[in-house]
Amino acid sequence: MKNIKWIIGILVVIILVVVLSNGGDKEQSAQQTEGPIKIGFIGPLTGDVASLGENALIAAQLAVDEINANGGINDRTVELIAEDGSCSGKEASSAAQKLISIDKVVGIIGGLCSSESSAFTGILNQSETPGISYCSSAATLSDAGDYFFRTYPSDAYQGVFAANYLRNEKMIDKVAVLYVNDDWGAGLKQSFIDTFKNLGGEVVLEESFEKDERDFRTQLLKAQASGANLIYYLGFDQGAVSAIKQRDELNVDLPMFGADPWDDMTIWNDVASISEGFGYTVPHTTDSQSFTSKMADVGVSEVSVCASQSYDTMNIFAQVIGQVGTNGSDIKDALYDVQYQNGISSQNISFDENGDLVGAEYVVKTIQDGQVVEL
Amino acid sequence: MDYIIHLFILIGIFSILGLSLNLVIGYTGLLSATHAGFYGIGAYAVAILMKNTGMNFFIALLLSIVITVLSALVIGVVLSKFKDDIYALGSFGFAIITYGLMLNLQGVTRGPLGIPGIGRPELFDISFSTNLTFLILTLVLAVLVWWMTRYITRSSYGRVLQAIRENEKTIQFFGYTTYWYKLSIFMISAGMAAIAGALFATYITFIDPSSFTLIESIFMIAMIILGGLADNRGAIIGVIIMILLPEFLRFVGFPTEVAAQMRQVIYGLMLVVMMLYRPQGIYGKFKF
Repeated sequence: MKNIKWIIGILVVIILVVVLSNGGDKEQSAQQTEGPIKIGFIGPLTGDVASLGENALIAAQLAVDEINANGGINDRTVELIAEDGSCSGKEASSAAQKLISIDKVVGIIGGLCSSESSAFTGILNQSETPGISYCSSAATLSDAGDYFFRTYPSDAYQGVFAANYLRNEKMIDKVAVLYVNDDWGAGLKQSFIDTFKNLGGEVVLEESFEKDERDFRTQLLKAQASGANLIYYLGFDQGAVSAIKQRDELNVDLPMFGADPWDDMTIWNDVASISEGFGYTVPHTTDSQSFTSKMADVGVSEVSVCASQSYDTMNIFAQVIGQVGTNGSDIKDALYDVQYQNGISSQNISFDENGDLVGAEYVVKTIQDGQVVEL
Repeated sequence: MDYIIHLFILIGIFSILGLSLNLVIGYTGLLSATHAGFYGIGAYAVAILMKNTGMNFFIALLLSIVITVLSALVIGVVLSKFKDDIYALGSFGFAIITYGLMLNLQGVTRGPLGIPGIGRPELFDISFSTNLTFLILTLVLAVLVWWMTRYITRSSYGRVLQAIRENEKTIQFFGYTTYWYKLSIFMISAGMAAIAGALFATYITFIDPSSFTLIESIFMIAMIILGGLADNRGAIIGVIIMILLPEFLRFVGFPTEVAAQMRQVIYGLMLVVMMLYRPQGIYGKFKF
């Protein structure tokens, strides 16, 4: 019993000493002047959406390697420090706090999930550290304070775009909405439904499903019985494949329409033959070809959603830090004025007064003769 | 320094959860997995009251305790009829139900979108907006909870609870209606969990259902089993280890590609090793 207490005591002391020696040495002004410029990265590196997080991390690291190969920023190299946010508020807030107060990062790339970003925007504002999310799309993040930006469009835009397209160009009157019950699905669904109803359309069915759901037969039959002209499906790759196959098995003759997670060739390699006329919206990307080949060079065969935004985000930080140095509040001010050209995720990237991406552009892609075609 | 303060705040919040759960699991011997549910109900109640009515944190805190205790009454009325493994299974069910409600009662909880922008507590002119002042508030409430659990467990009421744990039939034979004891300690423990939830919501200033899953209950159970059941010091030590260990592993310096995965593997392994070495926990007086 005595031994145990000693061991625990020593463990706690060691942990405190390690943590303190790493960063306890006074709150020196956050502005570093020598050594590498440190940038933090937060995303889910474990858990359900780890594949997206890892993909985005590799993309950000790719940008860092390119910047360093070109001489760094103002003759200083860039160091990327990644922490796991696990898509959870508690984890992400600890990760952000550690990056800011121990590593003294100049800025943070992240988080990926909106639940991660929402949990540390307060920390960003308090510590005057700018953060740019490459994937968080929750509409509420627009009000997250001065130090939070994002290169990924708010859900509000995609829902509005999809509703306009379906109502005005495809003349759809009645739609059945199936959505994954997470922050992304629920947020996007709401902005879609609001716009669609405003345009005079009717939402005849609204059904949620869980992320790991693979059986959509009930929802599909309900959709058919509801008299809808089209099924708007908001979900990820695995589920989408199941839903499309089950629709075919059940002979539900309603076309389906999806959102950006459908821009994943693993889906269409599998089910393109039974998806004639389906479509989906996806943020407009300009130079995906060269980016895909660069990612392939570092061993990533499938570039997932948000990877190009992560790559651009790192380059935006580099551009701004090159102009104004490493002071957090200067970087923040410069970000509101930034004009980033020739991005991968979009041609011009700039932020509005909420830190949201300006002028998010979407395109519609459809499946024709077993091929994905951009309209 | 902010990072250290942040960790101490988390330790404070989870100490409240550990101490209160220890009353049910450690002292009364009821393996409850519903604790994260009450933690969540407390957090949501405070967040909704503060956001929608602009209510002061401390009034919202009191109301959230009342709301949580009432929901514990509803759940406890059913659960207290059970014991042992059936009790555990029933509490699993309620944990899933509370999570499902948080996720699907979208009109109230905003579902998976969560509630952002919850304010920090204020009392007259004092604002607990900096982390240091928030830490002090957390510690004051944690000490209060510590003192209450100490008082409860040393009272005659607490001795009946421990007797229920050791042999429920015998204590019934002496004329104690164990049903009421099990129900009341369950409600007290839930009320304390609401305090932790209120602190969590106003500290992170954002909550969504993913913070209050069944897994979070398991995490709390692991904390107090590791520290040792039926001992307040054990609960605190367990919390300190479970919070600091994964943070410590951030500094070990694994290569970036595998760091996150290695952290979880080593964290899990260390817990397994500790349990092998000392199955009754560090301070444990009782094990299942």
